[in-house]
Amino acid sequence: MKKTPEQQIDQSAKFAFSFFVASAGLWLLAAALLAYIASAKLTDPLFLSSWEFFTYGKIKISQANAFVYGWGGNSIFAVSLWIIARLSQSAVRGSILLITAGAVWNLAITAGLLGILDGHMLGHELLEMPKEVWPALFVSYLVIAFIIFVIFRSRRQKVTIAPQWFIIAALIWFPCLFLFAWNGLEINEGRGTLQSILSMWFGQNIIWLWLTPVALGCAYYIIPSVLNRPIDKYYLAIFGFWCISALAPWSVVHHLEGGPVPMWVPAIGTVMSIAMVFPIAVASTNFHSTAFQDISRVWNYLPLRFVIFGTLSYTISSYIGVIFSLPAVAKLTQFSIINEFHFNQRVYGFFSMIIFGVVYHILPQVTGKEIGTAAKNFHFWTSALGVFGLLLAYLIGGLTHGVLAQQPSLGWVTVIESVKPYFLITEYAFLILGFSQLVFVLNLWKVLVPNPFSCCEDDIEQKTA
Amino acid sequence: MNNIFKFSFFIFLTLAFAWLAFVVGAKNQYGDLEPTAESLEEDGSIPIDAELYPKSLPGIAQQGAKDYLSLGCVTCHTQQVRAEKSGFDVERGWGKRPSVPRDYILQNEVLLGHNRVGPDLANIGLREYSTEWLHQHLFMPQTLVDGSICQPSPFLYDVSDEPSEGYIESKSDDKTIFIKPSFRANRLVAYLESLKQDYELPESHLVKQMTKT
Repeated sequence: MKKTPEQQIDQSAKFAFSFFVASAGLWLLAAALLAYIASAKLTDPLFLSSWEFFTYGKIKISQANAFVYGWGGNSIFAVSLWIIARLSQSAVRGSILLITAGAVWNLAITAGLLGILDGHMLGHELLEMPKEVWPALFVSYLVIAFIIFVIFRSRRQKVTIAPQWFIIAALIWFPCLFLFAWNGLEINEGRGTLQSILSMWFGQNIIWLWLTPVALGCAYYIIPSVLNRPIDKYYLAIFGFWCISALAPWSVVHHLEGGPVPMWVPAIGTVMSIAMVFPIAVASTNFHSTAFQDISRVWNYLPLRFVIFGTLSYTISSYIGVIFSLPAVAKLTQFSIINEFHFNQRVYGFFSMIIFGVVYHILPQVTGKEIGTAAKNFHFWTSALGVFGLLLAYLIGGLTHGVLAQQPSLGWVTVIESVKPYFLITEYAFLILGFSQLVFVLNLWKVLVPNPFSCCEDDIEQKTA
Repeated sequence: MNNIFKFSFFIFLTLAFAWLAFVVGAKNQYGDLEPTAESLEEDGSIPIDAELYPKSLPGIAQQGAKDYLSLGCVTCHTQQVRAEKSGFDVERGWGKRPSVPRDYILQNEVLLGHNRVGPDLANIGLREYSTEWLHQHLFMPQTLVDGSICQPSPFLYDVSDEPSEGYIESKSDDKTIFIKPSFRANRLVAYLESLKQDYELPESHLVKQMTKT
């Protein structure tokens, strides 16, 4: 039987895609475990407290790194590789090189996390892994990004479309960001709070210019291709894209409001954060006015349900984020656990949900095997419940935290006492999320890694047939 | 948009402009701050024989900063007193004045932080905590502050049932025990005690009326 061009591309991508998705899954589980330990330690500080390895600060920071670089990085490689190859209509080459670089990337993160837990972390946001692992991470990243670029360059269709802009831009942003940050934090080290500005800028931009655009690109790809209708008001997409590119790098420093930095830094950040309503509105219009034309298909095709959950969460929470960047509100909530709301919304509610959907969409095409509907439905509902509980607890808890902290007459312990119930909710939410992700990864591995015993069964089945 | 080199270049520019402002611009503006006197002469020069601030941390405290960093204390504690109009930090008694960039120029590890699950520590050295109290708190915060969720660090201490030289009294399960700080614990406490912004700077005067400490 002759294969269609699409099947040939899927075939060529199978090896590398499976590797990246499988390792992303393992990192997701590692991050879920660390997240649970961290949240359990907040409700009961004595939990695992005799081991230095399990100190809250270390666990919390290694969780963020495992999540962003382990799960985020690997899943970004997997989905961008496949989407770029499909859109370019050209096969994936250099699988061996991709997997070698991917193995280096994963080993470097493992070493980096052990370094953090062993007490060698750096003091910069999302750049906490020890110095020694960054060259390995950077080089392996460049190799992977370069191969995706080569595939993109050999595309049949010269005119590019929205998913390609977002994914290619994200692939370029990460190394640029890293070089800027590395230069300012380790080579030409600035004195005093100069470091803090740069560290804030880097840490927030990793979320805004690396994870976010890839997830947006995926949504721009999967919605029209599944629904088989063009993106509604597509002409706005290019405006949205350049708006995010131009505004996001400026907006992220609004978290420094009132701090020991020049006043113009948070002021610019606040203005640009407010201006972010335009790109958010564009993406939301594009996604939702397309999806809601055929809502029954969205609901019944599970990958798309995941993606629309992600885009809805992006829209709502980004608007909430704009409100919390206003100085009058930031005065209360700037240092409260609202920050946890922002981070978890980005990485769980938005990025992960879209990646889950896209992986479920790609997996049967690449491997020819499908994950059971019951398992997928279970994964969707538990994820939705977990994300909802988590974000609501952090949102209401953050408001409580901020408002009570403003009363100087209340002792600090009283403030924290009233936030404790929300910590308990997040502990349960992380438990639910962890369980749901365990189901996801087990099914993923069952499809990706052939069971050594199942070959015999296939033979028997074929013989009896 | 369709030429990848042009496209990559524009993508790079979006980031580079912001970098120019936040890194190059900020460095030009205040990258060369120096210690200065509490108040200047009328012509803007530093008076002769004036004490210069900020003082650099003692060596043991600089080492303690590394321990503070490696234990991840920054995940829950900030070290910045926000300006009065954008925060309640001075009212809460967390500082005598808002922090300014000059306060941090001599620190190797600038750990501003941006989460306050615990209180701000920019002026922990000014609060009336004894060295013993800080050690007891590091060992097991819950014995001193009821309801605290600060993480205990028993691994920094030697525990004994008998009182002896260099041991501090503490409690564990309502039983009196004695703890001996390790070298790291001593460095960490020295660092905490060195954190204070109690001097005036030309750009920032102490706030006159303190509501509560």
